[in-house]
Amino acid sequence: MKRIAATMLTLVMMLSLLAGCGGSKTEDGGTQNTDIAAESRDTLTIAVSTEPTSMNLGETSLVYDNEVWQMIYSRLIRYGADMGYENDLVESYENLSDTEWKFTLRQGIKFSDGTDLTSEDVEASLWAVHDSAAVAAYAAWLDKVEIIDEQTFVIHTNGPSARILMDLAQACFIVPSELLESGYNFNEGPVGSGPYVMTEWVKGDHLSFVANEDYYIPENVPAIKNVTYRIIPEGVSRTIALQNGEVDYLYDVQASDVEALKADPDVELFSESCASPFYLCFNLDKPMMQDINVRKAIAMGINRENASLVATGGLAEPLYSGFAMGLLGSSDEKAVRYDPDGARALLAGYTADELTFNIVTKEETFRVALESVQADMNDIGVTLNITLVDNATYTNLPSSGDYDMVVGKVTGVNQLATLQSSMQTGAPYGQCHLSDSFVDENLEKALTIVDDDERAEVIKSVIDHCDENCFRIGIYQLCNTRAYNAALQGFECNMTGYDRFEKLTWK
Amino acid sequence: MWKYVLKRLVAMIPVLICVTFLVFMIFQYAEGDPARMILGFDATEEAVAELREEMGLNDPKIVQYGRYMWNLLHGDFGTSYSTRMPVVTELASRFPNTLKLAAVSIVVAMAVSISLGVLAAIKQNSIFDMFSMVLALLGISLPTFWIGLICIIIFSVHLDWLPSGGSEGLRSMVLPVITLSMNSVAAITRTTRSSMLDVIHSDYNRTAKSKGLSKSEVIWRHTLPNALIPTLTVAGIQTCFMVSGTIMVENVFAWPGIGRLLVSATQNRDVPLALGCIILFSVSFSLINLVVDLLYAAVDPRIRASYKNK
Repeated sequence: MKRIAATMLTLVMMLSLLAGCGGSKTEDGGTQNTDIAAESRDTLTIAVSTEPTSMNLGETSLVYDNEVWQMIYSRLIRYGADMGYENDLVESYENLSDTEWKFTLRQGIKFSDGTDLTSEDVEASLWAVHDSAAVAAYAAWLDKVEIIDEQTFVIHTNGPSARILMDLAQACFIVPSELLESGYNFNEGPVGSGPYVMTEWVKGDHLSFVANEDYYIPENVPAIKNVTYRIIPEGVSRTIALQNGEVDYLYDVQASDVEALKADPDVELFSESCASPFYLCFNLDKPMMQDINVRKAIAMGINRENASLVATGGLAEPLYSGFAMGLLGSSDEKAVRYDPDGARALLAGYTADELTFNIVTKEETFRVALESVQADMNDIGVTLNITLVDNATYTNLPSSGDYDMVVGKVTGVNQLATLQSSMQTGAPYGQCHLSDSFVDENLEKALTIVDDDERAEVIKSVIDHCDENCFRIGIYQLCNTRAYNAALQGFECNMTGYDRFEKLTWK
Repeated sequence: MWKYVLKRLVAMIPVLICVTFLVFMIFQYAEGDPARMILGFDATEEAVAELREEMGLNDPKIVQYGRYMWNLLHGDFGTSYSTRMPVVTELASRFPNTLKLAAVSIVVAMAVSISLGVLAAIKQNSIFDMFSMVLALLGISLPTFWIGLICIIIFSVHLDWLPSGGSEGLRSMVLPVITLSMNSVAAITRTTRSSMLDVIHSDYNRTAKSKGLSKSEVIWRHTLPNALIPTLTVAGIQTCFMVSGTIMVENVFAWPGIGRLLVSATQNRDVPLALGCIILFSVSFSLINLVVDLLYAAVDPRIRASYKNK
């Protein structure tokens, strides 16, 4: 008995030691660890749900990888806050002709290993993208790079190309040519010219970065010198970590936590539409999906406000077009609106068996939205069976064709690239299995139009055609939702969803 | 005794072959194309087909399996499809974390549950006994995920005593260990209590008492060793669960272990990485079972003698 009492007393003393190490709470219910606040002025801890997969150029085009890449690597140009082009590595560029673009690099740019960044590095990097099986589409226009001197070069395209600037701004990162040629594995230590240098990658746990003090745009040298990317897969754990002061910035905010974060006086919440539609795609190889009345009826039967409310707490804007709004060529003029009575009228002659479909998704959030859609479909006499599959099965769907409908998202500011990869005949990501001559001809035409306004008209016509025929319909447009410590300022995030951490400072 | 250990180690080989064959074939027949997973959505069908050919994915399944086993025999676990890093590197960066968590959890679970089980048996039908059994029932019934989140809410959010996640320092291990060990504490406590009750009224115990030994000496030197065999069995099983089943805890507490790695490898059809994880688990389970068998021998001289005769 005495021994038990002694053991219990020891445990209580140890627990009280731990309690003494804890932080303090503010009177208004906010959470603020004052010790951490004092240390964190030179550090920024970002919580993300997904770890990047690779630092090797050309191996991936995933959003989470690119978010890290734009911290450590640079591009010739980049998208600004207003989605216009900004000079990044280049100090100027000009369009010499339909197939020639002259670029002049800034002076004195160095990679993080101390070597100079020159035209040769640009040439090697662009060819690396062009030759990569994963991201070749982002430099398919490349014919040759004519080097004039170390700072000046001309990119020759294999025909007038509408995509060159978009691809250079999005996917063409520049790394040392010597390392590329030697087959260096950038996963072991990336070498770039970005505002940060990666110093550590503990798989599954965190990535560490330090500010690049030699960054070539002096006003963008990061004020916060140390950044840590913490990988926290669980949404509620990320939210708690922010509210506890263990992290300063949430890159992924779980929809169910938005209200709690809004109510926290120590947290700022940002949410704006991004270039990512949550869409529903019809498999046009299936007989019933080939019937336009069925497709239109389904499009008319979906209450998009409800779906957004259920899945995102109403943060996401309803989307009628199958393609994101707010981008060059975006349009929802011909998109079908919510009209359940009209839907029922269109489906009057069909049997219940004919109107039973399966719909596939890979994300839990989308499954939640689909439950709302399922209820809407019940109202108009359509039975939807929802199937949640894993990533590999979902990626294989276009090949297997084993679905009536599929929902998904695609992030891309380049509507032309999105249309090419999803709606063109034989498209690699053609979930619709569409083969439409109007789409194909106009996409080919748009690819060669360099003038933005002219190209926008052609893209719009393709989108209107797809919306009118309900090949792919929208449900809502996803948001870039971020939550961060209210003591941070300088937040910037554009439609691409890439945050400019180098611009953040502590108040 | 060493012969017995050697025999058990050699017996692991057919187990590993069966396990790898089964898992390999399951992956072959599961939907999903590793080449498409590697190259992503933007790659053309031609590029995917070329990569499939390059990776040997068009070869007969048994040939692919043979190639994998041949490389494995030479210590080559292959390269992860998704990270392009050697599988050994990926496993080496994660498995020690899982092992650390599992080891601390089982030690804590054993310490708490044996004490609780013994006391519950000694004080059978008392309030303490009922309290222990209610605790055990809760530990078995409550989902690990829920326990983890409640621990975070209480100890991180409200009390602000401990971090809500991560793997830095001892403090970050406290909540994952509590969460992971709850289920084991419940199972081992019940088993210990039950096996203690089986032996507590036996003749040799009565003899020991009548010889004048103190109550604690009777319990800890005579009763408990005879009641430990079922406890060790359950502890072994629980340890295996901890090594392989930490995915929930790893997700809730952002612990960089091997559970998340295996789930991610499976979802992405990263066959070399998934097989590497499975092989690690199989070897771990076999070694854990061997250790449990050796502990039987340490606790029970009759079993020790039978091993020697083998």
